[in-house]
Amino acid sequence: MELLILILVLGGFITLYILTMKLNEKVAVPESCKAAYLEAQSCESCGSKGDKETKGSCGFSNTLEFLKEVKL
Amino acid sequence: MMNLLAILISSMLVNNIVLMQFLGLCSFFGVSTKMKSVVGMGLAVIVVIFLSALITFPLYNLVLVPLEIAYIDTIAFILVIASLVQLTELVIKRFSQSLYKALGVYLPLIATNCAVLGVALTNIATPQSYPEALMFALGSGLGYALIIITFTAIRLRLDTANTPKALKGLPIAFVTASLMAMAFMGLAGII
Repeated sequence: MELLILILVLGGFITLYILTMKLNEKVAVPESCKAAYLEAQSCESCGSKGDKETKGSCGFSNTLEFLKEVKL
Repeated sequence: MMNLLAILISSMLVNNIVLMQFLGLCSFFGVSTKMKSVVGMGLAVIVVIFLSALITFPLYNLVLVPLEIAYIDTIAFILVIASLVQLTELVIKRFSQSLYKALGVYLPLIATNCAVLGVALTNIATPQSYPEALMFALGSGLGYALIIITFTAIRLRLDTANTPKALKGLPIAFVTASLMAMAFMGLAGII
């Protein structure tokens, strides 16, 4: 019985998340906010990224490329 | 009333979520490069932490504990917070473009912010009432915003300073954060 409740509750939470995610995807970002949205999500907005000289490490593939270029 | 005020000040300054509990450090170092972004991020964190506490505290006490499945609190809270962020973004996107531009664009970054989960879990781990839990969440959010704005101001000044090459960028940011943490330790006795 406890296992059934657990599955039902967890299933409910997962369904809730998928539902809100799908609903959110359906509503497009307003045109006037697109530039601000892209700026906030871009790699350049992250202060943890390296500077221009080191080319940074934004994303896994970029990090791998960066590591290949590092010469000790 | 004084108790609630004490919780607010304590969670904001004395037990600051970033400098004392080391939560939300990724966004703390990642976003603190532009003042405009930081203000939006700070506001978004305040809203999301408060809303998540509003939901997770009763969810734990009224659903998970009576059903004897309190051990799934972490995974349940992660899913609830992620859903809440999606829902908040959806509502703001749909009804207020100016608000969306100011703080909505940072909401996807907050979905994985451990400060939000940390506050929700601390709330259920400490025996306290619902208003106290909400005040703790509000104080934590305000503390996060205060620290990230102060830290960004210092970091922007350091960009123009003559910093040794080896310390430029993140190394000097870590040194600054540690000095700020030590300075905030001085507030330990006020509550």
